[in-house]
Amino acid sequence: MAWIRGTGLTAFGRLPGRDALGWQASAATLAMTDAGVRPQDIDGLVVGYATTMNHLMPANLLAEHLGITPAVAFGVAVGGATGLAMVAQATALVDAGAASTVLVVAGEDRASGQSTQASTATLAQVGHHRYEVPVGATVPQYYALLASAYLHEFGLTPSDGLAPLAVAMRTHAARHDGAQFRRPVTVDDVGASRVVADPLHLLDCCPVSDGGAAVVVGAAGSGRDVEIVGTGQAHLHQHVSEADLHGFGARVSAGRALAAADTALDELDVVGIYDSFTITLALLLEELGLAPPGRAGAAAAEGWFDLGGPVPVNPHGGLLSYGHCGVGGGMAHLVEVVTQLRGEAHGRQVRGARQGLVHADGGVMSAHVTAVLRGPGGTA
Amino acid sequence: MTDDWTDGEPRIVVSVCDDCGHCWYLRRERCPRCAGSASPTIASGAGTVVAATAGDRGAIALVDLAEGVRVLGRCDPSLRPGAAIRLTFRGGADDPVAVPYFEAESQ
Ligand SMILES: [Zn+2]
Repeated sequence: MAWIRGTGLTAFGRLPGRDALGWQASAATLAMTDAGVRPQDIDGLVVGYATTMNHLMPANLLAEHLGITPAVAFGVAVGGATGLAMVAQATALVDAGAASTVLVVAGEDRASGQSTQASTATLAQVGHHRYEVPVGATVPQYYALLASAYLHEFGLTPSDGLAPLAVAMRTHAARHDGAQFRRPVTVDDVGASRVVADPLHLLDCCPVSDGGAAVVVGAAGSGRDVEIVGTGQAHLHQHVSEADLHGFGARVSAGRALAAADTALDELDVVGIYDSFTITLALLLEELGLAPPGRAGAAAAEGWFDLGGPVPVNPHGGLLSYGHCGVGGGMAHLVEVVTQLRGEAHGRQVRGARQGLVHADGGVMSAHVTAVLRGPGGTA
Repeated sequence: MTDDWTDGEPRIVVSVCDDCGHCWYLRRERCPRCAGSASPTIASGAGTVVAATAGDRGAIALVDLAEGVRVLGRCDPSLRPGAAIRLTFRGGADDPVAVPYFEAESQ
């Protein structure tokens, strides 16, 4: 198997001054320093796409910038699932003996490097170019459709079904000084925020951020290294009109990862779950089996996902409050779970965290990737 | 392929697999389940709202058509999940073609 040997996570926010390559280099340097490896030790480089750069060869660009001459280098694009997909590929490279020290990087000036309109238009291209994009739908609207169907099915209102999840993520973010939004909010604040696409309000939606994240995946496990004990994926649809609204792929993906890790949901101490919108988090928690159907919001209100709850979720604050710089946003969940399993999360540490799971989706709940991680403390 | 609204013909074409009977909306030459050949059917225009959202960018809905396919379109902002709809086509000044627009079915 392979281990996460080092992590790098920058602060997220509207932080002008670096371009996408600059954010990638910052995160990569943090991860290499944390792992105790030098650029010349890197023999595999995997880099996520950046919407502000839109380059055909992101890994080659970063390799040259950092002075790395890897034996294997490639870019990856599976939307929000890209970060975990890159880690899954890095694990496969290490397992196959194709590389021994793989640097996985993402970073982007998504907030400062383009207008909001340009960002919205780029992201909307996950819709079908012929049958959906001409209708004018945006990503928030696609997720609002999922929220509409979900609230209708379970007879919920936005304030009981969704808003508590935004509140829980903000509670977490208040403990992390790298988070974009740290001021606590209430369910009433969520409901009072501007309607973006009914039933989603502004505080149901993640921000657009600048930032970067990186990890070093390696063959040797020692000291603070966190083992990648299983990965799984599912790719069941691309477009919302062909999605199964009761089985997007999260259950299949996590089932594969848990089987590979020979463990079960009730043996997880901390999880990182993709939360581009409150509805994303509700749907994923429920499909993964971490909350009963229709109960994710109620569970959040009851403190299930807090540090001391039965399933601590996204102690860094998630995309909703730590922020979302694209591929790096999804990798922040991974960095956080690794930090928790190392016992290095200080004021937001989940006590006794030994095993964790990270799950991300890309597109409109289209691409799913899961990783199960085990801390240096040994088996769960 | 039979022309549909994306070609400027105000209609939705549903593809039906000649071999397994599977129906689909997004244009492709072969059945995604069995790779069989397809025959076109013109949608009647009746359907039921699965999901709807309204906001400052307008209202859109996902609708299950009677022919068994799910379709995205613009809609009357008052539509809610479960409502019966009638399919029409509307184009704004910026639209190259008229796009599906769902109205409440009066009954
Ligand atoms: Zn068929």
